[in-house]
Amino acid sequence: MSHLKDVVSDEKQRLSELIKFYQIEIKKMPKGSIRYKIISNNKYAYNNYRDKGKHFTIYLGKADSKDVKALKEKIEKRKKLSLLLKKAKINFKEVSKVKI
Amino acid sequence: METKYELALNVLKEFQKEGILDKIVLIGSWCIFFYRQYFDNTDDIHLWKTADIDFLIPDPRKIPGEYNIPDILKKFDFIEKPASSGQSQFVHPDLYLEFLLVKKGKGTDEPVKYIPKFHLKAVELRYLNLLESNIMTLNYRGIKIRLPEPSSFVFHKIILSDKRKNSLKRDKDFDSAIQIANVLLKNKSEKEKLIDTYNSFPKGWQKTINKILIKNNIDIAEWLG
Repeated sequence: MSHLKDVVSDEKQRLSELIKFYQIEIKKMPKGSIRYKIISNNKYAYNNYRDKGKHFTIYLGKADSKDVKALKEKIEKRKKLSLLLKKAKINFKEVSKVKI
Repeated sequence: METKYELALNVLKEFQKEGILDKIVLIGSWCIFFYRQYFDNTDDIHLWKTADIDFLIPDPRKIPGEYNIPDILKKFDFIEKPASSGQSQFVHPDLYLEFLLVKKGKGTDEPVKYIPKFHLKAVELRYLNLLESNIMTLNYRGIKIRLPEPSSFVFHKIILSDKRKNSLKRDKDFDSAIQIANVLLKNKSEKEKLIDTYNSFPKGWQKTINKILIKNNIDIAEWLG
């Protein structure tokens, strides 16, 4: 039983550190999503996000520009990190249920 | 638990596909899972699929070619997170991976080394030469995994158990060593390997092992028969 206690305690600590790590990484990434508008046959990108209950739309420039591509990558990374954070929280909850 | 297992196998499969698996050795508690398979899934070996998977890089200078391990692991959503001591840790909600090196002699002031051929930082640890010198290859579901011979694993865990400050970890290391040793002692050729491995150690190591066994009420001569 003591072996299980050790495994569970290690796993809880690891997941708790991982949750903090994901939260810090998520904060480094831009919020929201990218929306596009076609105006006079040109595709333009906008960053839509919410902050303190307010909705913002920021014009980014042409859809194929380097900056837009870089922002898109970061937003996708944030989404992926959010999913990983969710999974880590579920795992933490599961491990915390183990009674020794 | 199933996710952990599937993810671990997928990583091993990918390492094999990319030509990395034959350049590293799986060490640590995941070996126990594979030893159990090796010994016909015996119930005498209890399974503890922990979240940490450790790989030993035997000799980084001899790695032919270059392999971007962080990029490969990204495919499985692993993120490289430097550990407090500086080595690369690849983290995921279900598993984390680390790469280790053998600390030879007195070691160096800087135990964390960058391995350019793998694009990662590995950490040097003592006593890993004990595992490195005696390697077996196990074919598990088409994956050829290099592991320390169980006899080496046993003595490594015995020595390691005595270095542990945490009593739970000390007991876990010691018990897993004895558990595997007891399986080896039931098999004539494995028993011979266990004795040969012990006899191949320098006197100092043998003395250390004997002391630890005595502390745990085991007489080496009686134990190895």
